[in-house]
Parts: sequence; structure tokens; C-alpha cells
Amino acid sequence: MKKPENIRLLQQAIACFDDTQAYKQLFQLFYPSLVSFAISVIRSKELSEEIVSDVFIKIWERRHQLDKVENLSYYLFTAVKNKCLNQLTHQKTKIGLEILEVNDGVFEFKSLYHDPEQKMISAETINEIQKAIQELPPRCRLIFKLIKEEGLRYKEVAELMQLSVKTIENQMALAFKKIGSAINFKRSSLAGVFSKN
Amino acid sequence: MISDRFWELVSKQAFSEATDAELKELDQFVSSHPDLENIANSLNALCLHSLPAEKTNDL
Repeated sequence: MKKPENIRLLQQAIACFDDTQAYKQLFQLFYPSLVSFAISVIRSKELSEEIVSDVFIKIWERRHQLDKVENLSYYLFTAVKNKCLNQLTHQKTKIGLEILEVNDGVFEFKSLYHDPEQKMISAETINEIQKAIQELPPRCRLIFKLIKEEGLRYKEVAELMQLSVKTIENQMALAFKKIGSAINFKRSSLAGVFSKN
Repeated sequence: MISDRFWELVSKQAFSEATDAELKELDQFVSSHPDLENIANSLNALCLHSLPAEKTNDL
């Protein structure tokens, strides 16, 4: 998950010091997930990249107000969503938040373990977890990603995707059920692996 | 067969969305099904896992 304190530092550096390196870091941190999210709404990689780039241009233009944004992750995703919806309206295309298959490769787990045996077990388990995540229904996977990787709250994702909080809860339960089942399946070889965290 | 409610409670616990009452309910769940404790712990650990090897893009 992106650390809120790191994001806050980048915001301050950009807002107060016109720090282009911080801006670049912010861009690199959010660009892939924002593009994936935009693709899920407008189904065009090219347009999605354009929209996200536009959002970042606006961020730079209005950088001196950036420090006032309380939750930048939510702010960015909302800005991208709004631009996507505007784009769809512009195209007179049916508006919807139907989620496409998001093949973004974002869910890549790194092994935390250095001991070869543990590393082997964890790599195997991590593969199972990754597989379980990749097999989640697209909407469920996107919700899981927004919460786990972007650090958004259930309520924020509900607002972003125009769904009820109950739906988010159900989708997260489904994601955990699939991932938990993958872990459970491997449990005999798992003993103690995660407990080392 | 694990109840869907268990998965809902564990996910809410992992992302600090659970109320006190839900945390208590989860405790009771785990107390009555000790096998579930490992799964709950694993999922919580997974959510603390610093994951993504994200692709980066130059400006």
C-alpha cells in the first residue's frame, strides 16, 4: 500500500517548493494504477493515458493548492473518474462503470523471506495468492486493488464506483474468501510463514 | 464450509473497517473455529505486505 505519510511529504514538497522530483515520484507512484482504473471505465488505453496525464498536468498547474488536499489518493482517483465520465458523455456513449478485465500486472508480490526454504514456501504460496487474485472477477479485483494498494476506504471506493458500501463489503469478502481458500489449501506447507511478519 | 460472514469480518478487520462489535464477533468466530485463526492471521499479514512491483513511467 502507498504510505499516506510519504504521499503527504510529496504533496508538501510540490506545493511549497515546486519540487519537480517529488512531482515525478508522485506521477510514477500513481500513474499505473490510475491508468488501469481509467481503462476499466472507458475501455481505451490511449484515452486513459491521456486522461491521467491531463490530471497530472492540472496537479502541477494547481500545485500551490495541493497541500490542502486531505486524501490525495482519493482525490486523484475521483479526478480521473470524473474526466472519464466526461469523456464518455462527450462521446455520447453509454455511461457505466462496467469493469473490464484489468490486466495491469499490479499484483506482484515480493518474497519477504531470505531463508531458502522459507523463500521456496513463500514463493509457492505467493504464486497461489497471485493466482487467486488474478482469478477474481474484474470488479472484485479492482475494488480489492483500490483498497489494498491505493489505501482507499470502503466508503471512498463506494463513492468512486457509485456502489453501496454493502456491495464493497461483499466484494471484499469474496476476494478474501478466494485468497483465504488459496492460503488454506496450502496451509500444511504454510506453517509459520506469515506469522513471521 | 466457512461462512461468508467470516470473510467479511476478516476483510474489515484487515483494513480497519470493522466496528468494535464486529471485532468481537470475529473473536467469537475464531474461538469457536480455531482452524480459522491461521487463515485470519495470514490474511491480515497479507494486507500488511508491501507488495506491488509497479511499472513506472517517465514523465
